Amino acid sequence: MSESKKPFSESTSRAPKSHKPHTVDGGDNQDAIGAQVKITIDGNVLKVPLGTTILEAAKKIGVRIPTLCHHDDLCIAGVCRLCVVEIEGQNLLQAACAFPITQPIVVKTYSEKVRRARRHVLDLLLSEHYGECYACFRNNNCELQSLADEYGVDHFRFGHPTERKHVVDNSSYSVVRDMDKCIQCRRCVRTCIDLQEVGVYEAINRGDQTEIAAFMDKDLADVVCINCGQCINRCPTGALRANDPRDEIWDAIDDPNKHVVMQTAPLPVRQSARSSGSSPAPPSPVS
Amino acid sequence: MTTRKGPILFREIEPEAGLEKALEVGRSATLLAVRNSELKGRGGAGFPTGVKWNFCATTTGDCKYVICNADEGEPGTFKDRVLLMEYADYVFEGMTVAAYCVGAKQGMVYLRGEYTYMREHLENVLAARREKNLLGENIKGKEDFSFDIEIFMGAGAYVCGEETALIESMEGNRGEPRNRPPYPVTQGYNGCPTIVNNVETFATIPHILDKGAEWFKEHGTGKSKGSKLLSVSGDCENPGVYELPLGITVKELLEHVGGENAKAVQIGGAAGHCVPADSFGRTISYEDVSTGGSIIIFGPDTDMLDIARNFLEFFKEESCGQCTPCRIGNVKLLECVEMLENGECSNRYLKEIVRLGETMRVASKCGLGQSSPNAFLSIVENFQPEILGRTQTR
Repeated sequence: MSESKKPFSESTSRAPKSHKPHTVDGGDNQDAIGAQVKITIDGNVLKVPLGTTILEAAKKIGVRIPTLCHHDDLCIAGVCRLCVVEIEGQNLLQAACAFPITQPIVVKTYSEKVRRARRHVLDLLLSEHYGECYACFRNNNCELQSLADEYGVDHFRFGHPTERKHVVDNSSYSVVRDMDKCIQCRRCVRTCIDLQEVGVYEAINRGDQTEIAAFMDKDLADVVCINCGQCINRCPTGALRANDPRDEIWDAIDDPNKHVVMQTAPLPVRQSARSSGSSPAPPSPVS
Repeated sequence: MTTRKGPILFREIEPEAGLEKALEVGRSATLLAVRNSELKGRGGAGFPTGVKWNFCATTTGDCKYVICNADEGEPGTFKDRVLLMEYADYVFEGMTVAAYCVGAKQGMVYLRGEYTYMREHLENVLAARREKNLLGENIKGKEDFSFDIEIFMGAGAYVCGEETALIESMEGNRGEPRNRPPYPVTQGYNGCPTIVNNVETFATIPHILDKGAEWFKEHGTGKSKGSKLLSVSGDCENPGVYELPLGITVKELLEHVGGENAKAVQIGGAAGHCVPADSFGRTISYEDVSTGGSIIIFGPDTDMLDIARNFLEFFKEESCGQCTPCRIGNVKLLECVEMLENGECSNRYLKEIVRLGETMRVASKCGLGQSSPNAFLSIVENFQPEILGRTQTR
């Protein structure tokens, strides 16, 4: 068995097997471990270690395959089906993020069949994605939006929701969940269980009723969420965001009857100083 | 009542003849016999059983498992029910032979939740087999061959008939298919090499070993050897379970069961194909129309859009909800059927939906999503005049 390449060990992961990274062995030939396999991607030939995914191989030679549910920090899911590629000799398209190379294959990443499938996947996701982009805090910084742009989505081919299905869950101090914008990539599920080992989120229900919910479909404030915000960092859309208390702060500052004391966490101060080019100020207590 | 007796599964056979033969000739000869028989998986996908067993046998691992897929959930299938109620011994015998071939110590039957009433009967059969030393330690005096079977109850999800979802379910997770590869033969239950076969596949094994691979190959066609259990339902005079040789035409089947005036036949259940009357010359085999056993006959008065709606409503609910094409695609297909019913679907949109169905076939994660548009697509292809041009009065 080859070692897991991801930053967490299998023994600590409580994610279902399907979400775990592959361990590919050489079948009856144990000597094959560590062997190199030849793969042809869009005409480029390269050799990769046995068990490398098509996505990893493509990255090595600078071929871009669009992804949505895939995230470098997380284990493999293969659920969005946006990264599908065509393998010569196979009728089915395969998810590049989840397909380990175990024999020489010829891959096409941008054939007509692939492009059409990707466009269909995007059109389907948009048909369940509520909201207007320009009224969304992720506008111009949204993975779904930029992919739709890349694949030439100029109208909602399979419709677009006009009504909310969910109530925005803003019960938590730090994380606001708008499940009408969720595209069920399950990055938050994997982040919470595998990176943070908390396991607040899980998919519930089945079929078209499937949704991502906090434990027992409770509000986020009522479960064991540790408010770390790691799920927000990995959400590709505007479904998860940090609670923005700006208005409350302004209200407090504007209130003549209040004496306002402000304390900033040291890390953001240093980061913002660094990004503006000045030397980071030493953290000092504010009086 | 027409006879359901066929040449292989329902023939007379000495109990344990297959297992005795296997123990007598040894592992490799048994594997070779199964391989030479060209038996293909009877669940519908048709993967060669001998090849599957060989993969598992050659994979190294301390623990291996043999799982019998008795999650008979395909609409219109009820042949495994007959096998388990009347021929359970042969199913368990086949599993024992499989375990002997690949070196498994533990077997499991994943029994459909709705078949809970069978559990007591099956437990009794298992207990009797343990008594006779057909299960347990050193089976039939063979040293180093220990194997036992336990029954695991499913909870009613259609998708758990897919082998990797079945394994996820057995491990206590949400029943969702895994990425393949790796296949269960190398990483299955608890990460161990695992064989998953249909009830009928296991039940066929003792007969093959008893009479030999050559005898088995006398039945069937070039690429589809042997016979198939077909559960026939719908608009015919004699519904029921029949064992018929593979390669039989739809027309012959209809004559056999008394459904000659059928308008169309759904072969392979909700995930299968809808064969119209002018194609009744097609054969039921792995190279033409493949089936896991479900045959649903539609009489002349059937409204084909109702059929499409019924199947799509089923898939909309039974999709595991994991991958995009299946989760949302089936909803869009169903919406299109509703538009057709109201005469609101433009030709252009119908074309687009057909293309979406083709995408679902190739881009979905598992067999459910890949086969869910089949019925819809074949109805749109074959019954255009009937489904187009409806008015809103309906």
